[in-house]
Amino acid sequence: MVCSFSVSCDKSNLKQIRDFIQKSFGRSVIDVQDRYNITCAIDEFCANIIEHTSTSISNKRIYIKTLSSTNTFCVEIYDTGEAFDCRNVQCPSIESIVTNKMAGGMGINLIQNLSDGHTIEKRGNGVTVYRFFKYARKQAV
Amino acid sequence: MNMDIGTRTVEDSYVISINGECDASSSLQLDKALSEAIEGNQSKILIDCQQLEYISSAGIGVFTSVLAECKEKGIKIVLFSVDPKIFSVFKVLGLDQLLKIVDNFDLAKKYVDGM
Repeated sequence: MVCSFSVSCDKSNLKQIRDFIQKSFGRSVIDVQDRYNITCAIDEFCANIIEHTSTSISNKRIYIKTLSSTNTFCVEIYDTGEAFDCRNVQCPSIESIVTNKMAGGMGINLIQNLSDGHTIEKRGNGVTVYRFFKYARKQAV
Repeated sequence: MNMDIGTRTVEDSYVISINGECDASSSLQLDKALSEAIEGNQSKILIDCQQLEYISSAGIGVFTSVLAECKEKGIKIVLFSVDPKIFSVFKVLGLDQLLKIVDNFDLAKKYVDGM
């Protein structure tokens, strides 16, 4: 099952993004916890896009496509901004975050750890496609 | 609005209820409620998560930003009735090792009362 969605780059639309992801699982056997986890990872990633979108770009949109099969769930996010590879970013430890009274620094940790795979495809037209994968723990036959 | 915050006092404990989804657009409400509790000299703060359906790093950051201050001031803060899906994410971050999280209100009350 393939589903597409787009929304303007605004924090108030993060709930719509999460709801879209949740509705996209269809008949997938991916369990409730993993559905929550991938939804969280996508929410964090989109929040990051929104946060780093310049206020001068008022009409920017986030384009999302989900591809759901029985055992695999893939989320594609299409972005025209500067490509950002968070796969190898070193995240601060939770201890240092608390000691330094920080409110941030955990989003990338969640993006890295709540999906089962993450790829980046840079296309020649200035679009970067970020793909996140979640696989069913118990494969349906 | 996807989230609302409720507050109540139970004996000498201050309870903040988070209802709904706490994300980057709504975390400021939680931040305000927690800041007011700390500035209001509440020494026993219980966070009721029974109706909390989702919390992002923005919401979690509200807690991480005040934990050290709470420790310095001797303020006890505890979360209770956290959904297992949310608790699992807390464990991914290691937050469960730094922030007291218990199953229900009674255990939370016992914790802040030093029992």
